[in-house]
Amino acid sequence: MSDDGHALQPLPQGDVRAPGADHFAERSLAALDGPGRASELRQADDAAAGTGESRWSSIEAALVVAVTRGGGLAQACSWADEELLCLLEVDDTWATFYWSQVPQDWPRYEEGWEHHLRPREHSRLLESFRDTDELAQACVRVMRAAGADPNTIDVFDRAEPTPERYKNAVGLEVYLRAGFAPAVETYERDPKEWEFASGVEWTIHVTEPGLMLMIGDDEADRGDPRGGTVGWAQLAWPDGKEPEFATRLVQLGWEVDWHLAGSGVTTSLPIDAFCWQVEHTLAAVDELRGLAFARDARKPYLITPVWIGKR
Amino acid sequence: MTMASAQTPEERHLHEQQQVLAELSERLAEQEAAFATAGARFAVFRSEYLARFAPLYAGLDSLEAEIASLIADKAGTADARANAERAAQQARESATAAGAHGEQEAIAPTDELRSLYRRLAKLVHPDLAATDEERSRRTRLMASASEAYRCGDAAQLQRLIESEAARPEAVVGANVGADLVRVIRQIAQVQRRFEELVELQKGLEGDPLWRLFVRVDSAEGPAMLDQVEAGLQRQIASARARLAGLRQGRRE
Repeated sequence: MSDDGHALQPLPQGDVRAPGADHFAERSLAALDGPGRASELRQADDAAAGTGESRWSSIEAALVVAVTRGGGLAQACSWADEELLCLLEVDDTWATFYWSQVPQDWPRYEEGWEHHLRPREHSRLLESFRDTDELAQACVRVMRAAGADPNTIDVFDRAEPTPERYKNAVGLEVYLRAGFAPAVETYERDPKEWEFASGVEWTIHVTEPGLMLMIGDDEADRGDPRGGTVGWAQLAWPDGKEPEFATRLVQLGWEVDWHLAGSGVTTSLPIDAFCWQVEHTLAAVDELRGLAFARDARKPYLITPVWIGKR
Repeated sequence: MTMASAQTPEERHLHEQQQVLAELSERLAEQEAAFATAGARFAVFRSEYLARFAPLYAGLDSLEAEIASLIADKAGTADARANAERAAQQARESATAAGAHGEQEAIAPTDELRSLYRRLAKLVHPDLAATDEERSRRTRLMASASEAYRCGDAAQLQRLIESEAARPEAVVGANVGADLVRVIRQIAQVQRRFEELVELQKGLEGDPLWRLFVRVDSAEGPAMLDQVEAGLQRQIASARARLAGLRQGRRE
């Protein structure tokens, strides 16, 4: 080659290696390489495309758990049908404890912005308080009401001296003991941020149809306009999944008030207003089966199943 | 009697070397064209990728910067402020990059374009030049050819080919000794160019955008990019929700 440079170099000249472009590409490569659950499911979905089965659908039929700053388990919401969509709101007390007191020897515990926990790791924590108590009895009642076999679940105890922080794990355990095997992804943010935002989200992807009970202990938590509302926004569509979640509901034959899919609405409405909107929207579906939108507050536990049939 | 048998030894050697050079030239032209094609397709990919993703990344980084700023305002800690500054810096860089790249366009090469470029590369490749002066001329010519190729200008490539073929200098001289030396040097130059192409390829592999291009340059590529975009959209929606929550918290 002459000293004139790479006259034959056919690649785009100039700013092709600008840091910004590199950074975008690196992030895209990381997204393709990352261990994200969505990516895994998408790949599994692609792999299953030829068989007519799709694991991707299971993510929309997933149990979605959001943690809000409400101060208690305030809301429970389940969609009961062949597929169940289950939502759980848990509180920042637990989250705070979680961050500071989670056993350091948990297999995958690591300090950081984000980490992942698997059910088997939770089960270690739950071993110490499995017993019968009011909560479990209430769970069984709701399970029966849902048509589920309560024999498939274990009952357990959250009575004293069970730490308050475990109550949400108890809720998870109800689910696990109901015979389902969800994969669990836990996203944590810095606790300092948690003080001012909705902070922590759990996303539990259910790989099999099932029932989840939503368990709360403080009716008043629902009145928390910030935590409750933000919680509901993320409760319903965590991690920015609003569009695909709502789209999937429509595909399944649900009617969706698209206003609910916009964070601008869901984060500005008081929680009761939001609940009413959910209720109102879904109650408009003609073929609702079971209870349209039942709330059953039993203090100190609030168990709120929502039965909605698929069209 | 064959033609070769009537030749002198140096003429036969020249003939052999000319054949070697012709084969190498053919291969070089092919590789240059392949490289140019990859480069042109990469340019298209780069243009489309940046137009599609740069605004998303820049938007996400902007949201994250705002979130970090609000948290820093509220928390008031050094860590929070440092984090906010990092996020702001990232947002600025992404915005700059998005602005710089977002509107670039590239043209995908056609088969005709590739064929013309290949013919021209074979005709005027600088490494086939016998003198420095000729090499400089050919280098400039190939630069024009590369530009025409990138722009999809087949007519310009055709003009360059015709112009080159009509040059009196295209007639080969009769001095066997000089021709032999020239051919041997040309072969060496062509071989060096092969090595350069290998080095260029290695250099490309250090470019994340090229690696991404190679990664998605398949039938599954569009779905892979769709997946990346879907993930990015989710992050953006999540960031918007967090930001809304933070703003609401601040109002209260």
